[in-house]
Amino acid sequence: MIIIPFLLFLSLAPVIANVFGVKHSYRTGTITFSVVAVMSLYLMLDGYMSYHAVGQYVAVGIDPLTSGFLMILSTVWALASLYSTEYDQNSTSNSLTYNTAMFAMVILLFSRSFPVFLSAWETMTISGYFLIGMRKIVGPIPPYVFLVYGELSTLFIIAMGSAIFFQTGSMIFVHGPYNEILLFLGIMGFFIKMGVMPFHITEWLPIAHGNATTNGSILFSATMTTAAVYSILRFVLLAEPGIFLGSLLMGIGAFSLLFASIYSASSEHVKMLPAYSTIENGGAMLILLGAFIIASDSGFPDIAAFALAGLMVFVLAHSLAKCGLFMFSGIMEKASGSPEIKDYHGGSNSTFYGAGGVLNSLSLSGMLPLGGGIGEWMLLETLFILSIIGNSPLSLLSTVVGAAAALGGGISIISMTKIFGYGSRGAHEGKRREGTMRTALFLAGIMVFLTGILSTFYIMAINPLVQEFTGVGTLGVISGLLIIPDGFLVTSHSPAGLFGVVSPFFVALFIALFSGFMILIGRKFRKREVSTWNGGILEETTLNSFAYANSLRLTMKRLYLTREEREGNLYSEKTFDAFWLAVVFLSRKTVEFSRAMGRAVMNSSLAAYVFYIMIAFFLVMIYVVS
Amino acid sequence: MSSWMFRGLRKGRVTTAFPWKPPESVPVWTTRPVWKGEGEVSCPADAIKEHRVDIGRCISCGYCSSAYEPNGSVDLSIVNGKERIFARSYHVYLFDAGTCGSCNLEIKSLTNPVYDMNRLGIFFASTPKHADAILVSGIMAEGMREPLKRAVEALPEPRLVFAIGACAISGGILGKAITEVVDADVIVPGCPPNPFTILNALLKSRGDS
Amino acid sequence: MNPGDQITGRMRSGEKQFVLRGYGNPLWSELRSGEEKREDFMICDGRYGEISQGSDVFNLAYGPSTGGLEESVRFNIYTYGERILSIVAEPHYKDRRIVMTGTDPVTALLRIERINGSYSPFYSTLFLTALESLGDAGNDPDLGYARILMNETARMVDHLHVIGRLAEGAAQRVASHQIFALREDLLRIVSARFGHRYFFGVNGYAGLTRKVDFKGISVEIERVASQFREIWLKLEESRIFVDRIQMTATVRKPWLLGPAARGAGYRTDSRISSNGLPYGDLDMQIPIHESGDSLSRALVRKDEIAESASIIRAVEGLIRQVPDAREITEKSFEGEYTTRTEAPGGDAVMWIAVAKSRMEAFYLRPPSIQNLAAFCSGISGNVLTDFTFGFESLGIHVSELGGYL
Repeated sequence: MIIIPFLLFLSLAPVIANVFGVKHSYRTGTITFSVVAVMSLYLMLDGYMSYHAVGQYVAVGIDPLTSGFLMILSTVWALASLYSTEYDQNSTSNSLTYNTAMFAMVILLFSRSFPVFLSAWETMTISGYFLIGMRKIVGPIPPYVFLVYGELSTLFIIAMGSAIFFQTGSMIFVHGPYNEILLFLGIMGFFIKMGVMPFHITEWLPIAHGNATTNGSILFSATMTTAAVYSILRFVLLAEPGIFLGSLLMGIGAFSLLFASIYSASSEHVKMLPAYSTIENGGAMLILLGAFIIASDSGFPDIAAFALAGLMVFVLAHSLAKCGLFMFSGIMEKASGSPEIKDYHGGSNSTFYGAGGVLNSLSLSGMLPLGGGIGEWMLLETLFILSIIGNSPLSLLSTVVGAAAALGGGISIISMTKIFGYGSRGAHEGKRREGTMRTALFLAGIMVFLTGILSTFYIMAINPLVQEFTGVGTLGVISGLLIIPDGFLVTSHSPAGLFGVVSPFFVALFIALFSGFMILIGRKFRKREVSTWNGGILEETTLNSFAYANSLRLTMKRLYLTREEREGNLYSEKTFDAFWLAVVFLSRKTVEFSRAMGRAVMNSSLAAYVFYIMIAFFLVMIYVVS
Repeated sequence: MSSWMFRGLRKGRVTTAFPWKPPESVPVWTTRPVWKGEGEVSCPADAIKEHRVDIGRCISCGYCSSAYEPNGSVDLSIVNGKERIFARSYHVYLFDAGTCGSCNLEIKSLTNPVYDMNRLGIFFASTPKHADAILVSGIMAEGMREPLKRAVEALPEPRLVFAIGACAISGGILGKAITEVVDADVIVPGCPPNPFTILNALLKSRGDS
Repeated sequence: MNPGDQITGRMRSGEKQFVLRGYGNPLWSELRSGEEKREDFMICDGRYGEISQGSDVFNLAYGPSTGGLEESVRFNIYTYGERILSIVAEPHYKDRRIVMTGTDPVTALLRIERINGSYSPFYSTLFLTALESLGDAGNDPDLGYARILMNETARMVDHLHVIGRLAEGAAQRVASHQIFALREDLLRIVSARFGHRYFFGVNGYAGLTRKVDFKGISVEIERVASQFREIWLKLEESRIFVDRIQMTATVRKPWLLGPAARGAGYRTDSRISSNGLPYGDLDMQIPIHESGDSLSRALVRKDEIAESASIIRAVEGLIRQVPDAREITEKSFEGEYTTRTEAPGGDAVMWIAVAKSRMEAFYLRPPSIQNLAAFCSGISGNVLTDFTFGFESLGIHVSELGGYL
């Protein structure tokens, strides 16, 4: 009974601590969210469940799904808050909105009724809006588009909620089955928040164009996406959807993954690149989610459990690594004063910075034995198994999705090596210094590393969560083989038997032994430093980051809408996000239309905005009254 | 693809038996001219003093043919520094300090199937940083001074510097020698030295008999 | 003041070929203003190619000393990645500044042979033709035929080298090795007959310095040519080879010379109008290809190898007794003379001025000037991989791009 209020209090503490100053609020956040993380880990392991309803409208609860996600999110928040103590020392508006958004997400995890869920969702969105809305913004379109997308997602969720209310007569979450189309409508709302293609503008727009702060970016990219995945899972748990929704999620996920990885590789903006990478990872999570739904619906609980475990590994690895990558880019941006990767000659020569950067970016590019690598392996294994067990349409779908996932995963190596390579080479700062920012980044890297090599134990830890969904649990996924002791091997099973194995811990051990051996041998020889050989002259050529990915821009001209221009001997090459161009066009038209309407109806210069607010308010009223 | 293989088989072995057998074809005037015992000539390259030919200055023009005869031996090079460590794997970097192009072509000829230096464990490196020896040819052109210094510095130790051709050794009739800038461990005379002479010098420099 | 003091090459105006190099030349601006509108006219002032700018554009420096290029030359490749926007070539690094002024004709001849080792018989022939004309040495047809034979053999050697390098660049290593083995065969034929693989010291004043046995040489050379034909037919079958060099470094400018011009559809060959050698006595075909790309240039060279072999066959039958070279020191030379010939890379023009048997001025306009300019112009817009195909297909010799004192 006391647990939920206590956790809520801990999450609210940083908001209150703003009274004592920005720094104190972040410090409080670091401490309280660390406590929340440890507590929620315990609750998840324990399989703790509780539920409280107040009247017809308000209900909160806790189950392994909630505590599992709370553990992931609060870990990221603790790290982000630690980072913020050095990063942001004086912006109260920033820290207040940041802390509020986190609090809102905690409520979201606990909510068990639509009014609570929606108010948490709206608070999160509005806090996000203020996070960018109170900063200098390039033009009128970014905040407008962001708000439209944010509220659009709310509208979709409201629509689903109303439909479910009419179907079940309850505002409190109850088990389905629901109409799949209606469910899909609600999931569309979560898609928008996740920034899945073609709604991905909501992901990079506030971060890149709105020039969001680093902790804001972490909030948008690493945790709001995770909160959206949680929400989908929550409704999937309630509704038990079928193969139709599963296939749809897999298709959309594959599309999102592939396109986002392509756009990510060409991105030259230090925050836009990680933001595109989030869209890509969001796609991967959707694929796993879809595979989980299909496997559950087709009566393969083992495969469903494996897919869900993969999803949870992916969510954890992505949240941590993305948090780390944004810290990395934040340090780089602060040191060089430019958001363009091509201007970088490295952010800092600190060891923490380099180690944190490489671990996080390698994880995001799907390298074993890091968390991202395990997640990607589990994703591909699931698809392999689905492609051999299913009927032919499912096999075809799994094969196509698998091909897209593998291709996108490959391309993500370009973007990740680019951001890490250009960010860590040389240094902008002459003096070597470590600090809270770099320590937080390093901690994120270490956690990503541990998530990877100890993923077998993490998979065992989420057993209660997976059991809640599939009834099978994850213990069957973990075993041992030959010299590998029990508990260190991830296995995948097809109905025919053992399918694939990987032991992250032993992969790491092998790499460590091999490199240790090489270092031991190498130490015998003298080291010699020579200057760069560049044809015999001193001038050094620098291959800039733009050139690093330009072969992609030229070979995939149609996708990037690459335009090469020349005026005399002045050359330029531009690429575009086709979806973004369409949105800009549409939003311009909408603004024009709203202005015209505004002049005609309300005669106000803020017409568009007010007009929109009115409609949103009107819809909410209808919903509440009904 | 198979047609290439058949052509290769039909053509048979083209690779020389050198160094185990004497070279099949020697352009005689790139070898050392020896006084016949009578007659006087004036050498346009000032390579002849008291009937002895300074082979490092000889430009292989053959203008002394009335009193001198080439001896036809490809064992012309002078090796001042040997490195036996290169016996199995020998990577060389070709450096053009200011040639007419023929020395470079003769050095590059070593990779063709006729000479095939790879069979002897000798390879070209694309950068001096990965090379054991640097083969410098041509006169010391002003613009190549700095690059030559840098290239020699970039070579890991132990290293060998070759001066290949009359231009590199003495400046010939065109300019200054490369020895103004770097010390040469091995000198390979000729204008240009024929591939057998260069191959012979490479083998000698790693201690092959 | 000798007008040549400040020009280090010649330009083409009407009948004459000129190329000016060096900044601050008073003739330069004068000629440029009058002639720049003419499309068939190119002034080269020592700068090749143009610089590109733009926010993401950078200079990818290549050279001067690299493992990929046979001679020292520096390229500034302006790119924003993958695409070559433009190239600026700097051949001056290995400029040897060969001293010609004030030297006696014997030293001058030896130096001229070493301007470009591959073109040695061409340039020595140019110089000796000029000298023989100034010294009234007569015009011995046998000597002319012998020089044609030497030149055509050297042309075959150079063409084999260019095609071999091109095949190597296009990853056809088997073909390239076979072509280089053929080139070695040809050089050995030359070595056995002439005593030197690059004809150094062979060409003399009004004769040859050595007794050369020409009997049966055309049969040996024909064997090389027919083997090359066989290799080429196989090489042509390779789609990889053709795809790589087709449509790369396409250049079609009226100022082109040699295989570059003939590969772009221009019927130009100064062997027809040469004032030195008796090419007029021979029945000669000029191969023409239209596309102007690396493949067309390779095709022209391939055809010319066969053509040279047939010229050699024809001249071997015409040679009766080649006179021995006369001592240059016995004569006194006075005056100036311009000669031209078709070197493997294209038309080469030499102008000498001699006073009291000493060189007063020496100017050479080698074909590599145009070929390097053609490379810089044609490679723009191609991708970085095409660099090798473009450069090797033009057969540029950096050594001859230097200046003379």
